[in-house]
Amino acid sequence: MSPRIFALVDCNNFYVSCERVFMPSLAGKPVVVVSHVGGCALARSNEAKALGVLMGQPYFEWEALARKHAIKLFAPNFPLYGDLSNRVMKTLSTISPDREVYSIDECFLDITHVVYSDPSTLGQTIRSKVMRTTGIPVSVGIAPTKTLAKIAGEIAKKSPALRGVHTIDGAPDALEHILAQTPVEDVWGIGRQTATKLHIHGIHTAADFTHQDGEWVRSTYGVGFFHTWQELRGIACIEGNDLHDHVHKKSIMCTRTWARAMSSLQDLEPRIAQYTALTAERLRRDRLTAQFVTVSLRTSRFIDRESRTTRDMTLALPESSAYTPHLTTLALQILKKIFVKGYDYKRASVVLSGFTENETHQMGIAGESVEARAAGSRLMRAIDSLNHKHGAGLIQNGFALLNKEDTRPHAAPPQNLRSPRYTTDWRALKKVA
Amino acid sequence: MNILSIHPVIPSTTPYPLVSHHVPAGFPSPAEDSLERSLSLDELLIVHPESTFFVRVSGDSMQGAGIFPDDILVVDKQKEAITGSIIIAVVNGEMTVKRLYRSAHGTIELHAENPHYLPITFHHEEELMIWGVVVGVVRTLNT
Repeated sequence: MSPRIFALVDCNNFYVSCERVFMPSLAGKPVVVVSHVGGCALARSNEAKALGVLMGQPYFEWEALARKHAIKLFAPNFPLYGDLSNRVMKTLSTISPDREVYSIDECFLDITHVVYSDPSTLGQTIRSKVMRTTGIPVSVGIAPTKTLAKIAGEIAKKSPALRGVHTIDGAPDALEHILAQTPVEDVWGIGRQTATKLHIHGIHTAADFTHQDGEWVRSTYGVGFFHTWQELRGIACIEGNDLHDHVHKKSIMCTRTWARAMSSLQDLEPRIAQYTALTAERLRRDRLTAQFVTVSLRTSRFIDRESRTTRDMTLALPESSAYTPHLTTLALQILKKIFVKGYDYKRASVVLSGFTENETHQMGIAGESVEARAAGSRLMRAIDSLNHKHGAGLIQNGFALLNKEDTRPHAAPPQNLRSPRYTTDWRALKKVA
Repeated sequence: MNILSIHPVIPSTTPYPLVSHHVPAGFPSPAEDSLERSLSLDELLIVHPESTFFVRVSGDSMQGAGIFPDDILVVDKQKEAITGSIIIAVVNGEMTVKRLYRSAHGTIELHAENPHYLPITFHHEEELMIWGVVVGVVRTLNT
């Protein structure tokens, strides 16, 4: 197989960078995007990192720092982040059509067939094109495999002297040196749990891992880790899974973790209803219908074993649907089945799967008349249109309103923490004097 | 291309079934061959969708250029700013709309289009941050 080359393009401190596009005065300042008022750090500017704010650290632990250094706080502005992410990804597709959007702020580009003078120059071209087009700064890691490109990207991010680009060219000595400095848990595809098992075998670095026998890796840990082993050794073998590839989208998920644990069905029902409505909205936006609904509940992982539980179940609709009321009814049925009293649930998710394109299916359930299905489609279209025009949550699932608390998923923190939806709401345009 | 065999064409006597569904008769439109897409404002104003953003004008600093408070400006971040361009610039951390002038000796000035505002001078390119070039002004009326 002929050698390939990949570029991993990773937006720097993405949420913070998004806020800085429309608030240039934040440049050079410590900024943190928190999950909610008093919540955890989701994204930190380099200046905030330098002050010692850790990823995921709850606010109360760095509140004193925040006051002392006037750290600017934001609640997440996902409409803005999503829009800017789309723009970054569209720009990247002009560099190479072989593009794999990996997450909201990361993208793999297969640059094997792209013409360029040298990888470093291409890396700088990518950086300047994305900056000029969207205002978002990115780092670029270039290597013969995606797993190595990820490592290169981390190196590019950490050393300012590299100017945001780093290439691993696969030359054995240089590669060995880099892998010897990469802890095995930092390798893409190797999590903390597997790393702990590897530690027992004396495998602490990526280099240690590559020194093992491939067959041993495969038989002990499975083919997935064997692919990682191969990729670390320069053989590209992990196939793509593009997030933006709607045709092959396998599932739509809505997950929320709550600051306050929920232990009663009355607390959970409106939330599950709301999450189902959100996923259904995305389903309709992608012109799909779903057959399967999965609901899961989980307690905090950080409490003692006896108090922990994870429960989930998947049920199927008689017929693929995108009609919120039907999906919600099923989701709530599942919730009743999996709910067990006596636990403090901290997180829930609703996942829709088993998609069909909506051209072939109407919204309804078997047995409904064609007119009823058409009416259901019209109702959903009207609701989606109103929610889009007047702000999400204007029209909600009746069930969701039963709970007196605000159950909207990004329950609004005080206005001064969430920045305006500069690119998705005509009423929220940035003002220029 | 391989020619396998040649036959004379013999008119068939096999009966063909009548077409079973209704074929609309009626005169074809004389315009059909010349049909073009309807005009679209997106096409006119948004040449580079990834780099096009909208901002709202506050203040009267650019009245002389026909840019008034509450107008929407269509801004292209990737467009090259040349002397005379109306741009969005970042001055003291704030986004502002002004006309750009580059002088021969490297100084840059930002001019308002309103006698009540003084030009701002930058001695080096690096001091000025250009956010984007204004490529259109949109004003909705009677709303």
